[in-house]
Amino acid sequence: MRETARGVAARLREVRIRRERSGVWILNVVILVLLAFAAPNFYTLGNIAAVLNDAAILGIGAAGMTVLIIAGAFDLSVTAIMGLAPIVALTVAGDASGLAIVLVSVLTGAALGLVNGLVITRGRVAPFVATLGTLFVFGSIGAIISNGNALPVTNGLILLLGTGAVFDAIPYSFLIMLGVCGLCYVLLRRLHMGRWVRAAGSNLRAAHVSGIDLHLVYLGIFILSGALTGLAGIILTGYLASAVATQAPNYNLNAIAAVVVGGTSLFGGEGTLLGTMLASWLFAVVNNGLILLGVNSYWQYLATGVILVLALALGLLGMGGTLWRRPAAPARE
Amino acid sequence: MKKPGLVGRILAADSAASMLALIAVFVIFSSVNGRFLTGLNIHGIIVSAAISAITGLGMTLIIAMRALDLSVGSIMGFSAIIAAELLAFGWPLWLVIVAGMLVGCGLGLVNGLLIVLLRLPSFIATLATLSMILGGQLLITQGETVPIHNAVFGSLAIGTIGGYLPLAAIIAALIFAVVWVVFHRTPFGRHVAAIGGDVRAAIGAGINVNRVTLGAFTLVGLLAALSGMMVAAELQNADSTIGAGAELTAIAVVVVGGTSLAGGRGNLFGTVCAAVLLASIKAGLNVANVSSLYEDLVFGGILIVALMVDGLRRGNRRRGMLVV
Repeated sequence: MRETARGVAARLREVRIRRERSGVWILNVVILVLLAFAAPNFYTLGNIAAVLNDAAILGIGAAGMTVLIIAGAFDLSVTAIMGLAPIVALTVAGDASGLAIVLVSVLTGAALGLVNGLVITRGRVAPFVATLGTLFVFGSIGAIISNGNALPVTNGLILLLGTGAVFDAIPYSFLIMLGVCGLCYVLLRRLHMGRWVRAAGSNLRAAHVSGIDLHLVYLGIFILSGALTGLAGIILTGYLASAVATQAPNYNLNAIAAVVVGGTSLFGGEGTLLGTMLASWLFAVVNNGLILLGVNSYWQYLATGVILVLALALGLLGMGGTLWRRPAAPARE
Repeated sequence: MKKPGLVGRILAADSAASMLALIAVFVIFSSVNGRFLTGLNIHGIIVSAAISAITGLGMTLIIAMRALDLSVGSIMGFSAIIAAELLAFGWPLWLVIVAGMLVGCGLGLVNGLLIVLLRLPSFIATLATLSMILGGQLLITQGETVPIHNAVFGSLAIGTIGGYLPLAAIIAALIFAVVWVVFHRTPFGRHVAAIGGDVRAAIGAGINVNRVTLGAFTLVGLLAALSGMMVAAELQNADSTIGAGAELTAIAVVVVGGTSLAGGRGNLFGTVCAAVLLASIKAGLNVANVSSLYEDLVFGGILIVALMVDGLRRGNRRRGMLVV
């Protein structure tokens, strides 16, 4: 009996808001309360569905980015994969069934992720610069295949994937995002792979010495990130009803921002998927809220930056740090 | 041990990859197309290279400090827009240029303060300001293009001295000299490298890390502002597309130039070589009537190959280990 009680207590502690996520929780609550007064029409079924859809498109890619950042890596090429994977899918399987298009897009993303992984492991290049290079290369290939034009989408399933919703309230993309999160959760918390990922992120040399196959880990997570980005890309294509090489500008930096606002450390080793999802939702809420308030859409760039700084500053307070104290040294990238 | 000969020393240099690629690009393009080596084309290459080299030189310092500045593209656009607006107000030219550079300094200082006071990683702080400064640009211009009707301002980019020597090349050479002296011949430069090499050791040695960080980010802000104004001078207008994506291009230029993101070292000459390389690829493909869609393919390919050659050249690395 005692044991059970202790187990329950431990469970409750786990559920309690993690301190490094405090920033994203506080901002979410504050902004949602503010919107209730300032823009009551935010809380309509259709609008919530639109926000969930936006959040899902960012969240699916950001889930893969969370795994990468926990392992101490970045993928800057996701911006290009978001455009290239759907373009390849529509070019190769444009006349086939919707399912085939989605599959080709995901597989293309996985193949591009494999290229990233091979450059990093076999070519001995740091992930940041390796994916910076493939960002240029993949982006260029996407533009060349589509000749710089937008490829129109006529397939019903793809359009439904980007715009459809269950009961007009829960978008399919959001359900896919939940599935993706489940997958990444299992990978990070229930498989050996998760421990290897965290070990690689917290101390690469120690992980190597302890016999972890780092090449396998990095290949695996880059393929995962590529595949998820291919999936997010085809959903975005369905939403836009066309595929363009530059359809997701700054997706790489936005995904990294979502991961970091969610409380995952840039230094690797530890991170949370829930935080990343909350941050993706927060960014979508703010963009949507500003539109509902009738504010010039240019303010949303300003808002994104302010959220980034606020969430990190609040998270710092949540972790027991103080602002404004003269620090010994600035944080290092 | 026998000292390596001239060829060996060149091959072992950190800027070897960019220099060899530059020579290869020049040989290929000039043999394929006679129009590559014409005065007009070379002039275009120099102007374009000067602009990306000036931002790249600042970024080299930041990367040598083991930091990153993602906001340089936004700073380029912001100061270009401020300069264009001030010219439209009728401010004198010299004051406009000074004001534009001060704006860049101010924005760079903000980056530094976010990093030093809030203890944010430079990547995050400058990612936030990238977005905020872009918002500021759009709010000022309302998405419109600000025209520039000032021929003298235009000469900042496309002007020549005596009809041959481009003014942009002189500006870039001047900046190179100043940054080289600052980096290699002043305590500040040594401190930048020391912080990049090992920040704990730097603190232990009594280096004021906060002050050096503020200084470096202010400097890169100033340089980004200057190159942003040169872009505006070349285009004869300013809008929020100036500098869009320039931060990643600048990082790529620095890396192709042989500076490692691991920090502690900076290769200013390599950065200039890589800037000329990027400009030559663009100009060469343009002259050869190849679609501009291929520019990034070639440049990205060179970036990856250069890095892989570098990774394999450093050799005797433990099997199965990664470079991060």
